[in-house]
Amino acid sequence: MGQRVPEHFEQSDVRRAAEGDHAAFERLYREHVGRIHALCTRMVGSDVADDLTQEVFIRAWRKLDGFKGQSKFGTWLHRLAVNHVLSRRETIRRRESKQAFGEGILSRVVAPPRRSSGHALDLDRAVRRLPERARDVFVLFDVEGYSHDEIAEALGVSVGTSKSQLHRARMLMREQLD
Amino acid sequence: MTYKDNEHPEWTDRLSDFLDGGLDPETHAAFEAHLGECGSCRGVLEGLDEVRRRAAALGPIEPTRDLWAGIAATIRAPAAGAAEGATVIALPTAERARPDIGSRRSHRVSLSSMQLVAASLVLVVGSSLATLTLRSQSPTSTPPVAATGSEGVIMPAGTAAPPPADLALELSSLEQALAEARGVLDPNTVRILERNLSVIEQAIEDSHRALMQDPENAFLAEHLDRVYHRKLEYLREAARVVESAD
Repeated sequence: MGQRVPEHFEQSDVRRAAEGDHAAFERLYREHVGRIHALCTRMVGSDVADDLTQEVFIRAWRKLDGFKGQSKFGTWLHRLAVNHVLSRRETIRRRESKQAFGEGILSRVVAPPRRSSGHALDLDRAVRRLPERARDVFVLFDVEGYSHDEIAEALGVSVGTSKSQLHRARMLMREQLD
Repeated sequence: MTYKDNEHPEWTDRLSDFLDGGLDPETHAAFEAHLGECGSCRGVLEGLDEVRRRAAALGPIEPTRDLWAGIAATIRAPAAGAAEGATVIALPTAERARPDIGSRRSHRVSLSSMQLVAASLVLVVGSSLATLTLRSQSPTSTPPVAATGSEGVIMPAGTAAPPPADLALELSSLEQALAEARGVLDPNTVRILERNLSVIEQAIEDSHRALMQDPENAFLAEHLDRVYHRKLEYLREAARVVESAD
C-alpha cells in the first residue's frame, strides 16, 4: 500500500464511485485492498482470501449508494467485509470439506508465503492455528481494534464470551510463540 | 480451560481483562498486588502483552496478484446487470410482442412471431459474429470495444468465449431454431431484445477477458458460468414468448 490518500480526496472518490465512476472506485480499491485482504486471510485463510476480497469489493460497489458517510469509508468497508466473511464461511467450509484430500489441502501446504515475513509470518501462522471462534475474536479485537460490544454483535455471542475467547486466543498464541 | 504455566488460574483467567482495562478499580488493585508477589502470573502477563502488542502491529497483506481485473469485469454495469438480472428489461408479453400487423402487413405478411423474435436474435448474434470475423480477418488493429449494429444499436465486440459444455447444445439449438424463423419484429421488441442480449454478450465478453488474464480465478469462472446461464434463461424466455404468440 502506498501513501495514504487524504480524507477529502477519498470522500470525493466515494461520491464519484457511488455515481458509477469506475476509476474512482479503483482508487478506493487500491487504497483499501491490503487491509481487506489481510482480514480475509487471517479469518478464513490465504487459499480463499483472493475470492473473498473480490466479493467484498463487488458487494461494496453495489451498496455504495447506501453509504451515508456517517463513518469513514474504510470503517464502513471493513465492517461490510467482516459481515461478508462471517456469512460466507459456512459455504467455504463445505467446499473445503469436499476438497479435504484434494487441492484445497495441497494448496495450503504448498502455498508460497505472502509478503509478511519473520515475526509477522510466525504470528500470522499462529493465528491460523487458533480455533475458529477464538481466531475471530483475536483478529477483530487485537489486530483490527474492534470493541467487545461490536464483536459480540457481529458474532452473535455475549460480551462475556467474546472476552473469554480473546483470553483463550492470547494464551494459545503465547504458547505457540514461546 | 487450563493452559501451560498456569499456576493460578483464578488470576490468570482474568489477565486479559486486566491488560485491557476491563476490571473494576478494586479488582484491578487486587491484581496489581498479586502480580507484585507472583512471578509466574507476571510471566504470563508479559507473554499476553507481547502477543497483544505484536498483533496490533500486524499490517495489511497485499494480494500476490492484482484482483482488480476480476472486480472491474463484474461491476461494469452491463456485466453486473446481466449477472443479477438488474438491467435486463422484461420481454413483452406475447400480445405485445406481436408487431402492429395492420400497419405492416403489406410488407411482412408471412412472418410469424417466432420469426420476428428470431430476427432480433440473429441481428445480435450475427452482428457479434460478424464483428469477430471482421476483426480476426483485418490486418489492422481495430480497437476491440464495440461495433454498430444495423439498427444503430451498439453491439459488443465478442471474444468468442466458448459456452460451458452442458449449456452449449441448448444454446446452439435455441439460437438456431430462432434463426431459422428469420423475419422482423415489432420495433419496440427488437429494441428490448437487442439491448438485453447486448448486455448479456457484453457480460460474457468482459468476464471471459478477465478470466483469460487470470485463468485460475474460480470466482471469475463461476461468474462467466452464471452469465451463460442468464443468456440461456433469456433465450428460453424469448422462445416461450414466441410459442405463446403463435
